[in-house]
Amino acid sequence: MMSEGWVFLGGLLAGILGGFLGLGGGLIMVPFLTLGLGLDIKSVIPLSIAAIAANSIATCNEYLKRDLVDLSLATLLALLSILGFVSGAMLMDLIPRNWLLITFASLILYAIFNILKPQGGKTQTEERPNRTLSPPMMLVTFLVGLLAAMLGIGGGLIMVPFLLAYSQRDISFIRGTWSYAYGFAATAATIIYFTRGQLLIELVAPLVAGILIGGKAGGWLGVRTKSTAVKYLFLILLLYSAFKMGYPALKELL
Amino acid sequence: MAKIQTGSSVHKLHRLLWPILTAYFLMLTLAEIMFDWPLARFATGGVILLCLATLARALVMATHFHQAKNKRLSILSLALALLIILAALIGQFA
Repeated sequence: MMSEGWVFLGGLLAGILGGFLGLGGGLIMVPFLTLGLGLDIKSVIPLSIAAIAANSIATCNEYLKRDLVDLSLATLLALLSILGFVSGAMLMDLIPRNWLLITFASLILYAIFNILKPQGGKTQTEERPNRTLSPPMMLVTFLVGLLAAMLGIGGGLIMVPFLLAYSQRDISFIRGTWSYAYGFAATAATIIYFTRGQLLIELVAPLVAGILIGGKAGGWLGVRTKSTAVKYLFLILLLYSAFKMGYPALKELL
Repeated sequence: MAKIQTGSSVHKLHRLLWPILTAYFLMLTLAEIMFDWPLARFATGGVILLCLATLARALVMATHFHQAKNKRLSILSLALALLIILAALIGQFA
């Protein structure tokens, strides 16, 4: 039987590291539960989505405190991503397990590249409100939602750079707006997984509790400390996870 | 830009939701770990609680936009709430 204590610890770790490095918890939670606890990726994805939905409420609370959420843009993003997340949740069952593992491993590699890349100097700029989304942006939001629901992630890794290019805003503002928006979509995907019996209900509570507490602690740490040693240690761990997830799946496919 | 004031209803709701959700899920986790109580039924309640919290977010947002006289976004926020309810039906029947 799966120990709830370990799952709680996984959520806590995902929350702390995610908050510390500005990543969503999914990228840490999915490898931890798949590789560390030996759960099937198809059971882990719905669990991760449920935890992400809860974590969005905690994360965007911090951004709301600092007035870093554009509610108009968040509403539009939430509406489009909800369609993507729901479609992704419906399709996840149809995607072969090995493909999910390989796509997730590729996403980890992309995250590592993103963390190591020097951050752009875009800071607070002039106000240029975007009350509507262009059709390509709508498509991107939908597709990111689709991919996020199929992989158990929040989608910020792909969505934040796109939104940064689209609107002349500060990165914290974009993160705040997206973290507000994806909570709605992740909840809708959780409902789909739950009603279809794909959600391991006995593991929801420890994972959600862990990520809610860890996320708060990680956010607090992220603001106050800048430890590069932790960052690089984490990157090595991520690289190892990408290898462990992707290589056997790739070998099996070839 | 629809800025949210610190004391607005949207902000107040989010400040309220985090402790409620954390307390509920932490209580279930501790009960399971320490006393080995089978609490899966209550975890189902947790998922429902999460859905209700999200519905409340959408409705409070609709009220916020309504008060700001932004009819379009108010309707879109209501559509968001409707989509969450629809997701339950889709999952059940599709």
